Amino acid sequence: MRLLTALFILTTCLHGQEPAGHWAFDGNLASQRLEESYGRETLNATAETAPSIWGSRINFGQTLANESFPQYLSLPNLAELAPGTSDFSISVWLKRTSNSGSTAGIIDALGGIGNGFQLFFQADNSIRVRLDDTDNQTVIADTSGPQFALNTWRHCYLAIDRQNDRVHILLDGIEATPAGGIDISSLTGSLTPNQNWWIGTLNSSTPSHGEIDDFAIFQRLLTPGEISELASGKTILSLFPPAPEIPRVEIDPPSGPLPAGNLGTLTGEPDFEIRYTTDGTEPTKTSPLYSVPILLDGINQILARSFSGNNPGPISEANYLHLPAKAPNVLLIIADDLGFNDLGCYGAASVATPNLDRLAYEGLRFTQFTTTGPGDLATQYALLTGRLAIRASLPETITTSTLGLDPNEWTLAESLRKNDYETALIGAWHLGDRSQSYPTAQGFSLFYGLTKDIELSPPLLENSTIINPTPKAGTLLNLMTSRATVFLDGLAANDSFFLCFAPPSLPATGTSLLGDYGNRIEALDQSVGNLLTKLDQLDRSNDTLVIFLSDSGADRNTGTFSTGSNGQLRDGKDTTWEGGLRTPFIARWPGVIAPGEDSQAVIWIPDLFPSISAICQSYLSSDRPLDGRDESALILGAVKKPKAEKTTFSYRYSASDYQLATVRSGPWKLHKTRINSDPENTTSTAPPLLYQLEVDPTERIRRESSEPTRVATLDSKITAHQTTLTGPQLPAPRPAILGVSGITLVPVVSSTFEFNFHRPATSLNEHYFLQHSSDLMSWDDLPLSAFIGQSEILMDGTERVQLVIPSSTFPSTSSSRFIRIKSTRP
Amino acid sequence: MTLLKNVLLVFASLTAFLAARPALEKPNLVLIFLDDCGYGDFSHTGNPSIHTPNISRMVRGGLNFPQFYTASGACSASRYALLTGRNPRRSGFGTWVLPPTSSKYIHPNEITIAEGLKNQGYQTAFFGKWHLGNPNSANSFTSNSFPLAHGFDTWEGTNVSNDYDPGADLIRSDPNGTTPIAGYTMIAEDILYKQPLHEELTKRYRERALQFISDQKEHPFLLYLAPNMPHLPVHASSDFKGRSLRGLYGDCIEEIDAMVGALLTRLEDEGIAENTLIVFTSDNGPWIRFENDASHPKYDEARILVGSAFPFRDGKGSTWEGGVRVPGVFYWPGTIKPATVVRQPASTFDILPTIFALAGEPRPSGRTLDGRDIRFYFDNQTWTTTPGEFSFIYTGSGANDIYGARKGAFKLHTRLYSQTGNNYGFAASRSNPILFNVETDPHERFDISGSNAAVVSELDTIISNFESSVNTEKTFWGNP
Repeated sequence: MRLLTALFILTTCLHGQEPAGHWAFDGNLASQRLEESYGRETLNATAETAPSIWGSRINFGQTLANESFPQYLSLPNLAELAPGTSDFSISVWLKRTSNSGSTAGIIDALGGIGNGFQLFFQADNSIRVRLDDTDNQTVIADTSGPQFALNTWRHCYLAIDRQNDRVHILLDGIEATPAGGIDISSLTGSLTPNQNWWIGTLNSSTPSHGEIDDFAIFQRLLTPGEISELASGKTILSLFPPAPEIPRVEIDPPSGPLPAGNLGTLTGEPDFEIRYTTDGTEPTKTSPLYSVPILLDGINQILARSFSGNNPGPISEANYLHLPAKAPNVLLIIADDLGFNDLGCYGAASVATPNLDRLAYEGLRFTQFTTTGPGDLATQYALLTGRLAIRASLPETITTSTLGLDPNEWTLAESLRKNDYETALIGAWHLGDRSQSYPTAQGFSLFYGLTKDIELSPPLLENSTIINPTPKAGTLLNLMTSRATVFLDGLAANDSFFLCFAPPSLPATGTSLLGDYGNRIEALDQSVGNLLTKLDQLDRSNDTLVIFLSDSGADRNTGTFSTGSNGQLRDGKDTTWEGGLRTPFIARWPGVIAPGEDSQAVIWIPDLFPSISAICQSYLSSDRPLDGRDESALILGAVKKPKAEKTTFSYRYSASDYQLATVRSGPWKLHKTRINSDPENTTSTAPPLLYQLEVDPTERIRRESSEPTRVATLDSKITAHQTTLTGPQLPAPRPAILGVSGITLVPVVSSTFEFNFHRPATSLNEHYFLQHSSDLMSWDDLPLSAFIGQSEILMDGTERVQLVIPSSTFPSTSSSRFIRIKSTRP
Repeated sequence: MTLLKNVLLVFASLTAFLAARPALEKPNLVLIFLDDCGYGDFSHTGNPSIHTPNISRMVRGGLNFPQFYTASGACSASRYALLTGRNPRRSGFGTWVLPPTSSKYIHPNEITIAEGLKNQGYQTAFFGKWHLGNPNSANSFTSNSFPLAHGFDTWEGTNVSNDYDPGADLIRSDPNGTTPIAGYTMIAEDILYKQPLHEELTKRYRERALQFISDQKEHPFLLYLAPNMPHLPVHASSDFKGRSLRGLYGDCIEEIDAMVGALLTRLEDEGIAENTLIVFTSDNGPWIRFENDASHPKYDEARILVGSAFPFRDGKGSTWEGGVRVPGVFYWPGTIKPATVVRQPASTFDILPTIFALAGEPRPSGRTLDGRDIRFYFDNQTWTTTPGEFSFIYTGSGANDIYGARKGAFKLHTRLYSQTGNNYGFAASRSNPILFNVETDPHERFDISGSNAAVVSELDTIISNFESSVNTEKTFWGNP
């Protein structure tokens, strides 16, 4: 009992007395054996020259076995290890396995003619330490006592006692240098090495001809008790147990865009105090103590950590981007088949795009944005609904008037329209050439463009009216650009707008070095320039989020020159190689998005609806499966690091349905089908094909054989994803009016009266009329929007709307009036 | 008292004004020359997973040449051309890469950028890879084979590429030094497997360069910074390992980018940013010879440690565009307007004539130079003389043999060579050359020689004229 208490006290005392660095060389993997035993990652060792050889020892685990090979380990030459001019000691276990008859290195921390020290076996199996200080003084000390017998483990303790000017080497706890140690009073300078610490070698060439274990560096001398414990076989980790881990602080909300008035909470574990900073400096023991939630207005960054006594835990970080009170306008520009490498700011060699370059330089440029696979319809569907086209029950392209986007879909345009945005689509519409599927039936208050593929010579429409039955392709871009500027000009000063500008690729004249294809891009660039100039003129640039992307990679199979380029990404349009999937993506919002930066985060087109909806705080229905997620923190640049777990899919229409082609999770992409288009893409291997896209953007190095578990993980993600495809993809259609009394008789006496009705949340005011009548026979219609009071969206995806109606609305000829709600949609 | 204070203030600002050199008077030149990177290895050239914000900053704030050429697909040849403004065929090396045992070196009669600028009072420093000669028994350990004989006041770097084994040494100039020859000190011999040192080469050059800028901020200077990276074996220092999504190769490029950022900051902090032209480019394309090598004895998993020349074909060693098209960024705040993009091609040949013109040094006489003065592209109000049409002779494998020519948008191949052994289904000879429009067809996919006989003939004449120029003039070593 007494002994136990004593041990307990000893252990408690030694807590915090752990070495400055310790390497037990244990673990199952070579990389684990190189780790610093207390988890200080900066002190991890590296294997030099070639992989190291490992042995093992009972009770101690792995050992470094440098018998005859010139491999060695290297420790970083960091201040926390350096001997400097203070007391310093080393504990290490050694075993000689052969007497080579020459010197054999143990530790070499002395670069050429410099400063530091070396510890090594001499030809006669004694040990020598050489100390060189920064004043060019050198001391050599040899053990005089027992020589090393072969194949016997011995504990070696080296003490550099600067206070008393002695150096000692103890073997198995007994002094092996001449009694009292060796004088080092000639040393005046620092012993800090001028090179990395090498273990198991001398001069990177002479190996130790033996084994080394449990190596520890102390910035102090050990007590006789400690030395004796170690010499009797106690490991460093059991003598100096690591301090308990100090928990990480959770910061809520995490990094991201932030509306005004938010509070931040910091959560740790009980018994640890949390300290934080908001000025970017590292939180210390004297930083503010967290007690109550923090008002985040004006705070761009919180750094927080827990403390156990004076010991700090890991730092948690949250970065905030403060959003203006007013939601931004949105200008979404979608190019047609423009490749990843087709803009100046993405490395185009023969195309000049000063306006899109400017957009990138004033905004955030992404390098890992992808579509959902080939097809204009699939891309536009994913953009506007946040869903994969396989959920839409639509073909690859719509060629008849019997098909089109289901009116029950909830689009980005409807979502923003519900927030009173003026919404316009100018360009190509791929989601149905029939009235109930026109853009104007799907949330756009203005449509100007084409409802069929440009190659089918479609008429130019404004809303559902034909403006020009046979427009010349070469004039369309200018017409669309002009219409967009007219739309912007026509807005009232306080109107919010959503302009989706999606012109098809159109022939253009110009002076591009790349020829015809380059002229198309340079003309689009000029259009973008005109729109940006218009925003400047209207003083709208600072409250408009501009996003540029392309609907597909460039076509690499045109059979002629003057084609688009996807840079180092393989293949192009019509395939699900990265050249087909990945496109430029630029986001600009001056004052919110920091200018001139890049983001390598993985985002894909279905993320846009939930992200823009979050930024604009508009309604995102939760009653249907969605493939995108809110990535507003990434799109606005509040967070730069890609989320490792992000999973995306691509589909390709084949035979009669969309077929899953690829899945990507983190950097890993698995091809389940393979179609090539570029004649230079000679990949002929049958799928599955696995690539690491970040290390190997060109998809050259197949990894499916060497990474079978990743293939399995990706396959399981496909399975999980596909279960979401089997149920209903849209909620059952609901009546447009839910739970309102059919007709109400109201008196026209009071100044205003209230009237409540209940409708699906996925409905717009413009699809309703307030009807009133004096005789229940003839009804007059009034637009609803003028009477909207409060509205509340309920958990079940419905909305209760309160109408506030002034009695002056109705003729004063009668004392009462019948009113009801009419919906123009089924 | 107030009056005195004002007078003092005026005096102080006057001295400050007098102390600052006008931006155009003997501007400093920082010449950054990478080793074996690909055109597509940077953010501004469209790399998806390597992040180079500092080089992008130079592009945004300066001039980018999307069509920039290095003189050769290999090290010694392209370094010769950079420093002399002359086609490597004029070097007399008899080879495009000088091994450490070569008797040849850059001839003392050559006039280098460093010599010309030194003549104009510049301080000249060089940190990085030389590869234009090595003192050895074949050349009687001549000091003419090393940088100090060619205009550099100071040097620290490797004699040859970092992968020679043996023979890649880290050396610095040292008035009292004696190794490997007088005037130098050997820092480390045979560095290939000296991993800690090898990993910190970029860091070493960065520190030397920053110190040099601070030391020389009062004088005009040339800083030639030629990191060994990303030549195989690729390394990065511990500060950068694991930073890039692209893996170690990306770490290595990002460390170079950070070095560029540190230089920009230092120039700004020392108040000489507007006095300094920075040129960022590279010696040749990526070493795609090893792009399928999963475990190379010297280079490790080389296939992920080689850069990308896309959208161009092939890489290091070839005269396909991927061998010689490199980043070309010129940054000079206050003189070069931000976000300038010059569509016309330019090359490393143009650097010497341009910086000599800026420094007031006459164009070297008694020899043919292949470069042009391109100050017009910096600011066509200040410098109104156009550089003239770009034309370029491609040389390569062998004794800097002639492989083709470019003028305007057209490029003629009269020979083909690739270290991959792949000619991509093409064949070319002087009598049956192939022709590409490298502007409409940057990847060189469509041979249009059949329908452009006049262009073929014009380019053939350019080659003939070049051949006779070199054969008549000869090189300082004799026949080319």
